Amino acid sequence: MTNYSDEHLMSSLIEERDLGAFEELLTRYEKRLLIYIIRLVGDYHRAQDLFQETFYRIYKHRKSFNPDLRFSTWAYRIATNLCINELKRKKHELELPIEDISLGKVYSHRPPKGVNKMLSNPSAEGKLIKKDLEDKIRDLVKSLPEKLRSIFILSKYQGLSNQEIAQILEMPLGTVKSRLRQGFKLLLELIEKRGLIDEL
Amino acid sequence: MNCNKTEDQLIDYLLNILNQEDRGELESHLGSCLKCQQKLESFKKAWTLLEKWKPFISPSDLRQIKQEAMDNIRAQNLIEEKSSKESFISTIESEKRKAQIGRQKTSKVLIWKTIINNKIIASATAAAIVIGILLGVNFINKLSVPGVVWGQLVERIENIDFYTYRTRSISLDIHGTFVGQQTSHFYVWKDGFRMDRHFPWINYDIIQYTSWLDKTFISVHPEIKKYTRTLLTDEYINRMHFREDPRLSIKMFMSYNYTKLGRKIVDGQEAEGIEINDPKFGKFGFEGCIAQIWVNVDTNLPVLLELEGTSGHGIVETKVISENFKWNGEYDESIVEPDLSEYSLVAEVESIPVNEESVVLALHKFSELVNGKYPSSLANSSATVEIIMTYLKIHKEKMGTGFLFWQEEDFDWEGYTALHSLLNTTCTFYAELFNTDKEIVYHGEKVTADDSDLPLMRWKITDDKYRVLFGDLSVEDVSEEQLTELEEALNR
Repeated sequence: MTNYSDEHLMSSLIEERDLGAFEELLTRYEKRLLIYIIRLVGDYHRAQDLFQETFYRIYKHRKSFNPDLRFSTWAYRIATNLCINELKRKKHELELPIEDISLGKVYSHRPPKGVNKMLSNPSAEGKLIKKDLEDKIRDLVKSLPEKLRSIFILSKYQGLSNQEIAQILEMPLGTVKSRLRQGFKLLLELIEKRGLIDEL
Repeated sequence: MNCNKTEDQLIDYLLNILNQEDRGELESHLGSCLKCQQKLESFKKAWTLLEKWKPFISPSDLRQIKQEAMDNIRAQNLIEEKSSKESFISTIESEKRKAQIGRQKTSKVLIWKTIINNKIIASATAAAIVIGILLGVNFINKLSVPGVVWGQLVERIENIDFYTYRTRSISLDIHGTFVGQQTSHFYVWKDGFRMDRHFPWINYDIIQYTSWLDKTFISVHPEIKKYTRTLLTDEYINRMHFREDPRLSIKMFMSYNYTKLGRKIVDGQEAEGIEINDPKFGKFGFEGCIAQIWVNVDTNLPVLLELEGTSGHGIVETKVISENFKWNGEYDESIVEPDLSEYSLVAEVESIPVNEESVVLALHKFSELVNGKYPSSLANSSATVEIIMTYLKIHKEKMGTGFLFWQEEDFDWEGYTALHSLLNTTCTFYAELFNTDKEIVYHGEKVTADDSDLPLMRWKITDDKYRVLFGDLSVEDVSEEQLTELEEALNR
């Protein structure tokens, strides 16, 4: 199973309803998609729900998978659309304090496992300082407009090519490039404004 | 180059979106323009700074999230499977719809839905057991009370002589395919019970007699005039009795939290229902279940029982409906005592003690049979069905399709009966540890006999120690941390 391509696994899933194939895809994409969603919505718990919904839709709509696309493109597209809808929906609601998996934050629901372990770790103090910087960067990226944010995250953090981003977001390559530039420029301004460059 | 215009170009250069020609031009410009070099350097610094945001997800979170995703998909898969085939299911569904009629508006959502949402686990035998539980209602409070007095149910079960009922169940595995489907007719008397099992998917009948008094479990195959006998030890009977005697079970059953469902019409009669969905309701080897009991308000006797759920970590999903209860019906000795004069005894085995050694032996025997694989689940319900499925598969591979393994001249009845008994013992072991909060977990669906480093089963032996039975059936006691590492390896 581990030797098969993503697309091969998808065809097993479509034709034979092979849950083993689904599990393999889940294993391959779990971490990167979850981290992508966390970055996009900036909330660990909401991200978990959106992640579950993403994979649920992948399964439920498996037959609509276009074999001309790469599986990763399709999966990212589903996740992105879900997140953007969620962000739009959230916009209409009262702005709530951001929750994240960063240390030192208050968890309104349940702390992620592993955090306690890290806190009892002697090197955790160093990590706390590092986390503070992480929080600031997260807030920077979060302040990008949605249309720029997903492109920036896909490129910078998920390491996808502009071509693939264009396919995921179903927009021209030129638009991806110009929005990428726009996003980075905005971030440069904010970094300067907040004096963050000195923290490096 | 005009330096006022290069900021965008420098950014494009850094983002690698500059075309080849402009790129070359900019690179040569950079060689001579200190201002641009400094600017690019500051952009690079910012770029590096942005890399510092690395969300962390713990391995245990990842594991849990993956598990949840798989659970969702199994549930979805089951729904698809159900909607695509099985007239049996549609019968059950229609029964269910019928059953919904008359239910008060305040009643709960369909149990099936609840179970899928809550991923609660149950088992087919649970049904049998729970049904058994209901059997006890003896004294009829003739219309003197407007409703069912649930609190007195336990008291009313002291002296039941004889009763019968029917059960229909269907089990699907994680791929939505059959694990088994059966209808059973139960006859219960004071000293034992008889279960007539029909397996529609192979069109086969088995009649099983369990006698506490004779200390035997007899399995009769009418079609081929053969039977097997398992001699039950006192120890085994005590355990089984406790597990399956309705009079004892009902006490346990009613000790869980339940909610009242109001009234509805069952078989033309008004009935009152309760639903037991206490998360602790995990007796008898299943990890939790939801059941509804409907009691006739006039007779104060159960008329319908519905139970749904999955067993063995979501491997098998089962749906059971029990009905046609006949309370204190006519007792006929020929019903409870099999006339075996025309039958030949093909195997006789003894039940073995419920302990670790037996478990190891059972798992070893099973894996020998199926190239190192282990039973996918240790829920009581699936034991018989899984063995039948396994033997069918082996037989199919060996002989091609056509007829059942039982009909083979040289079929290894001893081996089959012994394995059945061994596996039942293993299920009992699992159930008992489960019910005593020993954190027993079984990974039969993932681990094979070749996996000497992977944990097949584990349970708590002291506050900080777990006993692990590995894939190769070696045993080791480990700390909690070691166990975490071992189980993380399962997901790699």
